[in-house]
Amino acid sequence: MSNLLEIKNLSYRINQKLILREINLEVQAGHFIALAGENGIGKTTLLRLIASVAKNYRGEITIDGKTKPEEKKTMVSFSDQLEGFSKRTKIRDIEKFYSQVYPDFSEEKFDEIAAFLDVDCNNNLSSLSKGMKERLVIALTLSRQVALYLLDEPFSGIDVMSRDKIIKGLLTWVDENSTVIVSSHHLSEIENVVDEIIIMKDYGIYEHVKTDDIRNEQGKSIEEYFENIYWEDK
Amino acid sequence: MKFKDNIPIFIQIKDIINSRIISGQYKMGQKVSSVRDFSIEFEVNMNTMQRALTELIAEGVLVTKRGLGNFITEDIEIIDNLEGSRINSVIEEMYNDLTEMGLSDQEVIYHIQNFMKEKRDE
Amino acid sequence: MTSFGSVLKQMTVKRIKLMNQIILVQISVIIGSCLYDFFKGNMGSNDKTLANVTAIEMGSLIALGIVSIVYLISFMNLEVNSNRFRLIPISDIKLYMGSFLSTVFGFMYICLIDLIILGSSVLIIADKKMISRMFSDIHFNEIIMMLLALFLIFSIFIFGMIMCNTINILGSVITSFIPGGKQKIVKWIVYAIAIFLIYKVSSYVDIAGWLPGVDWTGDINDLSYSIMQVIIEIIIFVVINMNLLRFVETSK
Repeated sequence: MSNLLEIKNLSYRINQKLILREINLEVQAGHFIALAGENGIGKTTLLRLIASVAKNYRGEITIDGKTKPEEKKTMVSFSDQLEGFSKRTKIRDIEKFYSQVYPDFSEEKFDEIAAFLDVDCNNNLSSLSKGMKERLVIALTLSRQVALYLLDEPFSGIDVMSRDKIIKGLLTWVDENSTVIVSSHHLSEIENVVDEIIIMKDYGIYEHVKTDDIRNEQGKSIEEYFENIYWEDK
Repeated sequence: MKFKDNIPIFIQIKDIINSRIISGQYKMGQKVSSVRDFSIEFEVNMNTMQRALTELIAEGVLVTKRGLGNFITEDIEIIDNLEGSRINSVIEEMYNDLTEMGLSDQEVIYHIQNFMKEKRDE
Repeated sequence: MTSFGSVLKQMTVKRIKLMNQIILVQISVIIGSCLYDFFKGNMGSNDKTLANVTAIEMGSLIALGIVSIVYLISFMNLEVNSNRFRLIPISDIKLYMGSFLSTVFGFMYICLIDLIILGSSVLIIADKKMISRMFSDIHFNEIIMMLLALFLIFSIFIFGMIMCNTINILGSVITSFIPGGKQKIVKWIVYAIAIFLIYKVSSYVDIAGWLPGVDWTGDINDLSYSIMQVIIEIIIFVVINMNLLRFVETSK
């Protein structure tokens, strides 16, 4: 089965500081994958590189055989935090913008998901609480019909109810042939929902395995297993 | 749905579905939810759900009818075996717990009979 | 993939909406100060009225014209720096063309509306005598020169906006490569270097040197020469910006 996402020998520096070194990764279609690693290790950077908004890297990032950025962008939906919109922008206008610039965006789907996630679409951005803004971001991200969804720390700093709603939203609205990569440094939040985990460590990828295999072979929870890996050094 | 975090989830899902069959919640020959509906109910992704269902199908507990979905088996032997293994594992767990405390086989039987007598007298 | 038309439309509509808001403010300022003058009894003879009104208008048009240019520059920079635009499935070249063309359309729009405001108020206030005085001595040549001069000024402003964009792009690319690039001091130095480099490149353009043997003397030729110079500079910097985009990461 051909890979949805293939990364070969990816190295990345910013301000001459090494962030990623010789990363190799293969991701198939139809999986929910946790991207785990301590803060600052480069999870966001990796997602931004896949989404083609981080540049100047060495190596190859191929999505469904494509390497040109504009072709890759048609297949990836990245959870943008909407900083490119002024605070006074109405949510309905954000929806209209997405619908105009993304051919695969469905306004119907957005209305459904936003209603399910309790997002009040009749206000502007500044009136949203942190939890509601995150749910809005998820609604926008999932309303595009793509092969690869990238969610960058969607659960950080939001209440449990929002989190559970977002998880239910992921299960309901993501097509079974699409893949979702969710980055998090709190694995307990998502370990039941994902079927694979990519663990990042030391400028690279330490491991990429099925979560149930970890439970089978180690008899540990994913969070425990992950923490052990990091404590090994200390 | 709350799962134990150190046992593979697909195995826990299998146990839950088996329990529902034994308890009669699912009748023989009854149609069960689709993979997608199940995955939303159990709050797991479809791969994990599919893995559980695939094993149940391989074990004959579930039967796939092409184009129609998944059904509980109508083979009574399989259901009896299910019940039998479930009974066995519950007993095994209890037996192990009690003998770990230091009880001998006769003491185990004595305590069980005592318990059942007290229950009758209630 | 997203069509060029959709992106261009989005970007243009956004700018027109802003221009409309600015024009509304301009008109309110003009009407407001005219009413003020009128009630203060300052509206005397026609000549004086016209001069007053024209002065108020010019003042507000210029002030708010500067505001519109600042906004247009910030929009172009946003389209380069933000995820909102850089995640769109379209090539960098098409994205930048949209940014550039919508800026030209937006600025052209506000300039034309402002000219109409200025022109119509002159026609309203001036009486027949003044108008015939204004138009009696006009030669065709002078009209052409005025139009060319206006177009030259318009192009220079566009060029200025594009250059600010280049400074942002070049600065952003350089800062992401050098160590310590996130500190403010480093950013200032880099931007100063970027401005210097851009100045060097733009001074390189010299049409007279490139096309020897063409007669550039005479007023109209003078203006045409300057216009051509500016347009070539614009083209050069648009091409530079389009090609540097592939190195620019988003920061929002």
